[in-house]
Amino acid sequence: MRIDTTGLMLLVLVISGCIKEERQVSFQRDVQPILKANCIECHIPPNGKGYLKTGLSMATYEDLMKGTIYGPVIVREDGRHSILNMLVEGRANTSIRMPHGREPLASEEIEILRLWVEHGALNN
Amino acid sequence: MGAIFLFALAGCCLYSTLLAAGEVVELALSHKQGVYQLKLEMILDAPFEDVHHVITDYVHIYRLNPSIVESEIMYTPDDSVVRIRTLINDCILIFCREIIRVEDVRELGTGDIYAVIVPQFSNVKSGAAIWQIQPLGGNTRINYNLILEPGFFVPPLIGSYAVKQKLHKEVMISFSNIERIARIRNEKEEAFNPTRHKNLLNRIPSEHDNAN
Repeated sequence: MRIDTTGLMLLVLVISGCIKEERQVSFQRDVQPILKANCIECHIPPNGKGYLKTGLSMATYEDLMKGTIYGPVIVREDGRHSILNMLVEGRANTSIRMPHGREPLASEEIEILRLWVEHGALNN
Repeated sequence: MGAIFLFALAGCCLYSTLLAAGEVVELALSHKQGVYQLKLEMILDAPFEDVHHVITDYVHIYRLNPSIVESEIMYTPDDSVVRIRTLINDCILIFCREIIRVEDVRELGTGDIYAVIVPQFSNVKSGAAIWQIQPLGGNTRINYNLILEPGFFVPPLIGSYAVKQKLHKEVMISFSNIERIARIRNEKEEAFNPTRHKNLLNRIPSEHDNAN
């Protein structure tokens, strides 16, 4: 049996081109700066507006994972069903798109938050 | 015989999860010619005003069920109607799908809430739900009637059983969340206004009041 090596190499190249490599996201390096710049002003105890309204503190990883008084905002490995992602992506009603009363996050920041959740929302 | 066993199993499964929220007074699920009907009477352990507020808080509708991945209040020229679009991402057996549900919600003069599917914007063929919400002392009695005709393929025999199971499960999850969020809201409001509940009970006639 003959194997066409040129064809095989081409196939390998095509396949490797099709596989999208998703970057590894770190909470401390990538996620926390986004939260600090856009969310923490309101979501910080004791007097942040968002904290007072929902109980969600973003001061630490543990606080974020605890969620609001209504429940968690992160579903590990599931950005589609995570409320944090839903709200920053504007998938819930636009009037409650986060950050509230400010410009929406840049698409790259939204993607970082999604990847972080999809990769297990680790404290890394 | 297999089908009878499955329905018996369904009965067992249904009643084992009934205590998920509040107290179920009556539950009936049926299916005929592609149309599913669910009747549920429940007493939620939360005050009427808070339960009513949670059910009509359309902006935060995603809180009621984790299957909701998108929601939007749409424009409608009729002020008496709130048009809500929800995208529900869920699986029945191995079949996962996205259900687009656009419904017109009306609060009737009686305090009841009537929601009807707008089929041209939904991938649900037809459907309607009526919520009758009444105060019952410090609790709330809800009569919920749902009629739903899915627009998607449901496999025969096991399919209709699975849809009924799914409907039951999702309704119980939603009611459990309504009760939980209403109780949280009540605690928050009470913290700011400790006499609120007393005032509420004075203002809203309940069945206990009538009995006395």
